[in-house]
Amino acid sequence: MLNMLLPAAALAAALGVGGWLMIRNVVEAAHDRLLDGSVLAIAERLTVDEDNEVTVDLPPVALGMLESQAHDSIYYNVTYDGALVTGYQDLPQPDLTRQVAGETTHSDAVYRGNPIRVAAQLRRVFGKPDPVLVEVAETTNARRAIEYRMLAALGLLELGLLGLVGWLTWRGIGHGLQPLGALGREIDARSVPGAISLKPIDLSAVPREALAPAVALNALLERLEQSIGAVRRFTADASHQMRTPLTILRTHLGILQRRGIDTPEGRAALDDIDGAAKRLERLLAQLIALARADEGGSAGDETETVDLARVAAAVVAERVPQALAAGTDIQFEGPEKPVPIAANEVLTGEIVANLLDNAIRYNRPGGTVIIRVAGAEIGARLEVEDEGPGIPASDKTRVFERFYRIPRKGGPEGSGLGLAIVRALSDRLGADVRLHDRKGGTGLLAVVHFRGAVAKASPRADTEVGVIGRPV
Amino acid sequence: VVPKERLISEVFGFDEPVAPNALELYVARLRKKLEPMGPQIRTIRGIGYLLETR
Repeated sequence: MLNMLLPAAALAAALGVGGWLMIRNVVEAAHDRLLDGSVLAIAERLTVDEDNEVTVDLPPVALGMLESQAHDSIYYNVTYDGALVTGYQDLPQPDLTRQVAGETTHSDAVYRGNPIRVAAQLRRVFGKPDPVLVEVAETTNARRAIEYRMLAALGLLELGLLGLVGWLTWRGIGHGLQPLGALGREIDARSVPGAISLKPIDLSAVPREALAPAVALNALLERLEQSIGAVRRFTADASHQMRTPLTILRTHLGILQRRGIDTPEGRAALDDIDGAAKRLERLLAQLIALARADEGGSAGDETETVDLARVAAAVVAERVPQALAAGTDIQFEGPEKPVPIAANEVLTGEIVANLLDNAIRYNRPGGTVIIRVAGAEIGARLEVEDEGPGIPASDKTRVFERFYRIPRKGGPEGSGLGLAIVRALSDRLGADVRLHDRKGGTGLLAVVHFRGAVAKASPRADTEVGVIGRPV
Repeated sequence: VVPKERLISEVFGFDEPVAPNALELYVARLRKKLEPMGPQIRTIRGIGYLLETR
């Protein structure tokens, strides 16, 4: 409020100063004209008598016109050649060198301890070689009195105006914010502990002034409700996924207890326990990977220059035994040169590993998995191709949802998290994942498009490129 | 899995010029000698070679 009045107050002050200067000029000019009249009336009566002396027949009206209610003292003075003709001998004289005959000048002076205004004119008189100086002066009481009256009136006017502006502003803001206050109470009423409502605000009840924030708030509430829903579903799905292997574990432990280890049933139960434990382990690892991918959030943070060809080759080499155990032929196609991308080495490795894992698990027996790395026009491409059953077009989007699995009989076990992890990690790296059908037969072709490394993004990127470029 | 680059540098050293298929030749000879005894050398295309014992 005070901040809003400050500019108005500054404007009022500027107006006040300007007004004071103007008042002063007007008052001085008006009073100076009276003095001029008086000087002229005296000057008109200057004569030279028979003794060749300057005389003046002082008319009463000449000084009478200056009389005022403010009891100003009036002084006059007629001198010729430095000698007093009539009037007050010691009245201050203007600077005579600048004085032009016939013109009246005005100046401020102090006489007998009071400030005075002096009007002076040099007048030529017939019969005398030098001009006669005529001065009329008055104290400034009347001038100041009028000035102060006008100034006081101006000040009062400005104060009134300032008050009016302040009151209008206060009323305006209060009135303008009223709808927001109502909106605030409406939102407050929702946060009842234990039953927080994320229902959108009824826009028909919101005043027009508050519509924009209310609409924005509704959009936020909707996103919030969606994300809370997603977390709820995720928790429910995750706990369901954990419960299945745990149930299997308990069942088979029961069999072991009843039958003992050295029976065919016992040995089979041990195998199943091992499998269930492995499933649980993998599920937990995937949940951790997903949580890690989620917590980073924005793409582009902590990116470094990564050689996609090297990372992919390393992951493939790591998975060779798993592929061979599954009876899958694994092949890597990549350029000899590094393929620099803007990414994070660990996250990129996870993307390759998850895609490769899927390709091996869902491949047909004796099938081939091909991993390709190639620089693209912008960035680089990673392709993982398998000869499995592929994914129908209707499911190509849904497979990225967490825990979604294509309903299929006799397929390998899985959590439905692999592609969700790939999507989450890609989002974080600003990469783009797409699923296609393999050309020339059934199978899936997963393509990830990574962002290219910016040449001089960081000194670290420079040194890395330098190391790669050195001949080995 | 042993990467191809490592095999080349360890078998031939740094100084000798290496013909592109020199390593393949050596691997083929090794395969012939080893296979009757059991161990198998598998080619992992793009990555290197894997010695499999059964």
